Amino acid sequence: MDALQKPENRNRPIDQEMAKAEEVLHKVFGYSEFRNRQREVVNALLKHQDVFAMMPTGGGKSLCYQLPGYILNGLVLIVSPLLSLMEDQADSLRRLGENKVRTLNSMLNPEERKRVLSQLRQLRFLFISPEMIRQPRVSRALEKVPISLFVVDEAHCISQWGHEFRPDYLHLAEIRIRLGSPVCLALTATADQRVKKDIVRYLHLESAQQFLMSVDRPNISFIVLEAKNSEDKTNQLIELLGKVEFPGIIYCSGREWSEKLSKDISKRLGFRTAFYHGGMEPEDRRKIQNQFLSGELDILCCTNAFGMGINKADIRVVVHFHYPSTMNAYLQEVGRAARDGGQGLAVLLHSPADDRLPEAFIDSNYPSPSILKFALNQLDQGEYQLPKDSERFIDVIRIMGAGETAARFILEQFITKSSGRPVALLYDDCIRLIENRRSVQMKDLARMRSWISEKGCRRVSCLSYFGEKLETKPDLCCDRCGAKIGDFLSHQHSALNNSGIEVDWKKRLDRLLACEKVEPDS
Amino acid sequence: MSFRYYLMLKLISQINGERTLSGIIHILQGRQSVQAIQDCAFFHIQPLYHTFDMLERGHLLSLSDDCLGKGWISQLNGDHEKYALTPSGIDTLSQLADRHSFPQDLKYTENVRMETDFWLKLQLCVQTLSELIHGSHSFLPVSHRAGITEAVRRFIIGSRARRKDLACALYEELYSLLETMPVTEADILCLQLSGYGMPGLTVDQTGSAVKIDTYQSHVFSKAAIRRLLHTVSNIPSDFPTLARLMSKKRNDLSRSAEETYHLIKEGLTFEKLTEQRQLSHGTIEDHIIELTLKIPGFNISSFLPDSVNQMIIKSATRLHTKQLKPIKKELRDQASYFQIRLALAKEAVEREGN
Ligand SMILES: [Zn+2]
Repeated sequence: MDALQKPENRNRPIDQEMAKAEEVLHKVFGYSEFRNRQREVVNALLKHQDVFAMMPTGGGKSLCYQLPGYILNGLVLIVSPLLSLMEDQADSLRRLGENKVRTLNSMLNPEERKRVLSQLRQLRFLFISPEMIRQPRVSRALEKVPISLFVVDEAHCISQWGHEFRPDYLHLAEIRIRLGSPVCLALTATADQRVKKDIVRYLHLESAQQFLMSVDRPNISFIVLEAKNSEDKTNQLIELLGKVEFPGIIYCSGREWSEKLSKDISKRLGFRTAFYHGGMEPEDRRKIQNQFLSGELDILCCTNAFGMGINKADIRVVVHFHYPSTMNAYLQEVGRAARDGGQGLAVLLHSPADDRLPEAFIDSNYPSPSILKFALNQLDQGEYQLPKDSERFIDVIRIMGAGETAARFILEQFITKSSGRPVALLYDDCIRLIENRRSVQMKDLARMRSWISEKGCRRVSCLSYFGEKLETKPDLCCDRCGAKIGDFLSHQHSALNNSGIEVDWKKRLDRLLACEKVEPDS
Repeated sequence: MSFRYYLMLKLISQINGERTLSGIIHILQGRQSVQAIQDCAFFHIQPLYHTFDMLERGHLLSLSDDCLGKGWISQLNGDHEKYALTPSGIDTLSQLADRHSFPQDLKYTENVRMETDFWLKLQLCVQTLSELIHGSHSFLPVSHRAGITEAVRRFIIGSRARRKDLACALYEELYSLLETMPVTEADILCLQLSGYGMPGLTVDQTGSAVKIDTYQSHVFSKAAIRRLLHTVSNIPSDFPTLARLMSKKRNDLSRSAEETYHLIKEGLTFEKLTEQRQLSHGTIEDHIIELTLKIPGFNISSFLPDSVNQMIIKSATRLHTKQLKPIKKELRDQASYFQIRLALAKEAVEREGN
């Protein structure tokens, strides 16, 4: 019931609210003014209006829910799709000195989960995964505390047209109602027309204020380089990196490639490189991330596991050694360049053999007919108690050779559609659904490919995909508009220095703990 | 790069085709299975248990392929999972052994179950203190594992000392421990530590930093951690700060085996055990083997009459094997598989003790 009570500050005049917001902006966040459309978003939220905001990566999305957290009464609940992203976001709040922030996800053990749930009233921010918020025990606990803001981060995950569809997102509207319909803020960086429509529809945001900023990042130039094969690509990559400015990110399709490219670049150019992929231990990933953030790496070779939640403003170049399967994903990844407002460069290396990869990736999202049949039968025979055994089920399906996304797909279909339906019919439904989704994803892939082979301006083509028109063309627009690698030459390559790492344990320990060994008097 | 070949050839020579490659991987990864623990004792490779807990199967498989390609190992009777050294492999191993050996400190495996957690806690603790004493509150913690974060938070908040003093106490203790280690081990350990303005390296990266094989840097790192844990747990009063980071519970028995242990001490027979614990014969048997391997002086006479025991050991010595089947066959089924496993386990433990 608490959630339904009107917060006491509702009747305060608006300008006073915004004055308060300005004050919080200086005092808590240390900024002198709002960026982009943050002011409008915050203002609308403080007026208790729902908001759908699309801001390009690096546009200061997080502040839109962080700041109201210091003005509104109650808990700011942020639904976030990725574990690593969630932790990064919580960390960025802790860095501001905020300690009333917790995360709730499947990585916590039951006791810790219980403890977080028992502290809800003392918290200001709670980051939660879409699976967790659906658990009855969790939603019951949330129902009991006042929620000031219901934030759906990476809202494009709600759409099956999006590149990161998460079926659990589809239940968020219903959960929001159960929580007393708190004010909702849906955030995303890139969404095309279909995805935007889905966000509005599935989150019931028909009457929300929309702040949709252009996806265009005028300070990033696009160049596509054609290559004969992987070897040719590697050579072109090395040549390119030998000329342009650092630091940079190289996106590639898998662990092996990220490791190989890192080794090649370091060997042939003497750069400080590292690799980053989902197969690494979380602590190792964090170390690499810290090295990259603190400028100890020139080039990071990674899979798409790297990036969400990363805030490094001075990345000068993003190279795609393999291209992703949608324009959406491509723009997200490219958008990590040049957030400091300086010049950024996005290079896509393409060879004919690459065209097989994205298709394989799309197929990995779905179970094969035989695995699907097996899994549905198992579920039908009550081999698993849901949702308790979900993780065990996913493990079993993965051992059979399907990916995690495929396993979650089966689970979702079974949970939402099985009630009383014969399993054979459910199987047919799934096959049909897979066909549909697959064909949509293949269309997205076709768009990505046509952008790669685009003869006209790449920026215009990209914007038209998102239903936008290009207003002013930047000087270094794209290769089709005449931009060349030569326009991005670096002037500082002499600064290269490979001997930065202190190896001597005594010196390291001295520096880390700022103590010196006191030698006993002799 | 030759250390990895030394590691592989040494393992294959010790195991001598009696276990599969998967069995070897389980030992290196430190699987908590009775089989893996037992094998370590059988083949005298306890120090290597859990030395590569993060090792991916694929890496070891490609290493063995590599050795196969060089003609150093060959498959046994066409079994693609079991290997033995070829004459050229034996040669290579003896050359490699001139240059390489496993660090002494690997032998301190008594705290093996807590070494991963301890090391994560220590890294997070050093990082947090380092950032705090430099006035920085904005850093990305090296570990996010809930138990680790919580323990370190308690460690820092729960200490009455000022942070600066806590950092210095930690420094002093680490310094005196690292000083007693081979320099490379100490370097590799400290290279992994993160802190203010100084991100730590991954173990793989430490290998390139000190210009050794990454497999070797893993082994050195483990050796250093084990020495640290060993010393601290033996003389906790000399290292009060580090001792606080260690888990209270030293016992590395599985919880289930521990329950069985209590009942055995109360004098329950085998049948009564399965009844009371509502577990299968096989599970109780596994528990008894685990207890034999982990509890010094564990009395097995009620499960294995001495006469049977001696018969089994004689047969094993005669046949020169640790495989159960041939022994059982030679004894014409007068001993069960369980009794054979138990006898071999006991014997391995006793030989270790001498
Ligand atoms: Zn253009």
